[in-house]
Amino acid sequence: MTARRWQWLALAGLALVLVWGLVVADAPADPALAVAEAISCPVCDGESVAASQSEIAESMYAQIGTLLDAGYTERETLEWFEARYGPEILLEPPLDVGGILLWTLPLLIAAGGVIVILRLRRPVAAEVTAEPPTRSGRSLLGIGISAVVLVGVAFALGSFLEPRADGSPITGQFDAPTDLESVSDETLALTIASFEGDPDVSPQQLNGMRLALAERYFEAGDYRSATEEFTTVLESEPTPAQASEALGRVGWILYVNGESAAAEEALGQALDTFDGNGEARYFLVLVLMEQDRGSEAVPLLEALLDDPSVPADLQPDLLAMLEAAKA
Amino acid sequence: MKASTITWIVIGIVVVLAGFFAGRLDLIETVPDSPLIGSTAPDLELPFLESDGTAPLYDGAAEVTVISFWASWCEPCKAEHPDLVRAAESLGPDGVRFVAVDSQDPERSAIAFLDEYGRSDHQEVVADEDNRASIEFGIWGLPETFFLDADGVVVGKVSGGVDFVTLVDLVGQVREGVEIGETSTGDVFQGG
Repeated sequence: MTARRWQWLALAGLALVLVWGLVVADAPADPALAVAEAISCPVCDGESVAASQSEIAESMYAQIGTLLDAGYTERETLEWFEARYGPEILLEPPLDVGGILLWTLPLLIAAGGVIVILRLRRPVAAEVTAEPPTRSGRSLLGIGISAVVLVGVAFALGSFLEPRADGSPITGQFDAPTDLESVSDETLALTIASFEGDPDVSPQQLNGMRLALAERYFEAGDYRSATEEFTTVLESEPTPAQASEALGRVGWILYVNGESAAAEEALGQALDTFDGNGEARYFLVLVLMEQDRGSEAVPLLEALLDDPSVPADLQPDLLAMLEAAKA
Repeated sequence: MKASTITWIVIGIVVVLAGFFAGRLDLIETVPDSPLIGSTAPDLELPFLESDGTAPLYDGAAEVTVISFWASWCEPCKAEHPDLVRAAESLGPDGVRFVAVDSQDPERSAIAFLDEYGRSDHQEVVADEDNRASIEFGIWGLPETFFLDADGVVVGKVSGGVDFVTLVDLVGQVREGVEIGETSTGDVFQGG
């Protein structure tokens, strides 16, 4: 055997001794300790269950002992914790495709860098006579642009391919509702009910929520539920504007149900309570016009036409109604 | 194959791999996803905090079970608790069971917390002795809230404080058979 071969054998032997020292000799003899060193303490920063003095780590250590005593292997014990906390609980997570790439990427980058340097150096040496200087500049620019594009594509691909832990059939993350407008009628009703009797919430604040709910019912044609909410508002120290809104809507519901006289009275009260309620004024016009009482509707229509809060697209209809009322 | 072609292939591979890892970086979350979603909840029975006896975390009778993990030292729990109490008052009589698991907390501190932030007759407060429930549910910090359907399957989880409207909304979704998954509403507190 040549001297060079002896040297190689000596190097290989040294490597084996190092590996044995790092992997085998360092492994704890106590199986519970081995598992505790492989699991992170969930409330600590990077500490293992074995190293942590926290209460939860002590409980987890005890659980490791219980599982091992029950016949679990070290691997099964690790899997027991992984099934509850996810793979993040393992200080050395099992290698997936990404993990393997993570270890090999530096080597690939280094190899790629060497090749690129060698490739780029060769033309530079020869370009003195063979290549115009702009050519290599364009090549470098092309490499740069392509690299940016590829990074972008790969970034999206990497995000898309993010693996999820086994046994985790999550269909997607939900967004918690941030305001009452986005919740269902039932949720809004329960929210209002939960605030009743709360000293930190004024009756007027509650009325605001009730009117919002009542409006939903009103727009959906659920007049029974709407009337219940409007009635509650009227009985709960409403502001003039709140009372007027409730009376105006109740008046319209009465009119739709054929109670014209009661509707007219409610709408009149709505305007007496708050003269700026254009909606109640409009409802009253419709009630009067339906009863051929155009002359009584004229001042109401003129007031509506002068009201800046009335939507512009309603103006033509109001003008037509005014002409009809005067006739 | 020309040398320049090989160079381009090598560059492409390196860049794609670099991008792959860059894409993974933004997915690191404060609290990892729970593997329990979609699985039957751990079968545990814990002692009441303020009285004798024990209560199962899932009793088989409720249409929806809301299990909240909390502690008196947890700041977000202080904001969340009154909303949990209100939700228990609103939904408790209607087939929704609220279980509050006091975790890693001295009993006296926990009771003082309830004195200050409220109780509900429709909320069962239990003590997580030996941290069994915290370990079985894979708790990373507090508060964390789990939603169980009528079969005892974990269908949702919120990490961080949860407010009344969100609670009612999520319970409604569970009732409709939606597997709501999980979300984070903010940081969770980690104790000892």
